[in-house]
Amino acid sequence: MPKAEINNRIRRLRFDHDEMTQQELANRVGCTRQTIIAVEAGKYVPSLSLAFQIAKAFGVNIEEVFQYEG
Amino acid sequence: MAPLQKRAWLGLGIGVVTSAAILVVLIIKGATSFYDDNAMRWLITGLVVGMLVAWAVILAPSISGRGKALYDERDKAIIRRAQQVQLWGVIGLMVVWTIALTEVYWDQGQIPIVFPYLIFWSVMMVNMLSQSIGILIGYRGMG
Repeated sequence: MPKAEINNRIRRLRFDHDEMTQQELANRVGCTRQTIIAVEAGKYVPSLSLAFQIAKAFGVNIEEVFQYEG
Repeated sequence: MAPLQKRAWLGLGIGVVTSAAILVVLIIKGATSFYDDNAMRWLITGLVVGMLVAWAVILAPSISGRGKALYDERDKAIIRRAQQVQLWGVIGLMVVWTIALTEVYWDQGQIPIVFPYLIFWSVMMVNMLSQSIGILIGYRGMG
């Protein structure tokens, strides 16, 4: 079975939101900057709760941040 | 580097140095000199207890859930995965102890009473060391 991947547009969205820094985003969603770095790089798939919080921080739907590619 | 990752490196460093010191003492004096050498017994006990205290200060707060500001869900996921490394580390150590003691003391049909003591301390040490290693492996895998 091919491995499913979850891609994200966090980097793009950060730049679209006045070049928000990773630290600012981390502060808004209540996690560490290292976790934002790992999520952005696709090395860590966040929990649903954190994914929703990230989407909320950008004021968009979760599908606009994370895309599932099975 | 994440706060937990820094603490894991510190814990690993302290663990390796302490374990090396204990091994050197045991190799020089011999494990069975525990019977008649009180100074050696206190030295090793002091080293292991010191290592336990260092571990309690460095890593235990993060694992018990305290220090929430420093640790988030990724850190907690990494700690959960590190428990697998801990488990295999302790199982591996018990296999080594069992085979080694059985082979060495087979003819006598019994092992010196000092070994349960050494086994306990070594399990505690490997448990701590493998936890730090497991956390560092987790950070390698999860960025």
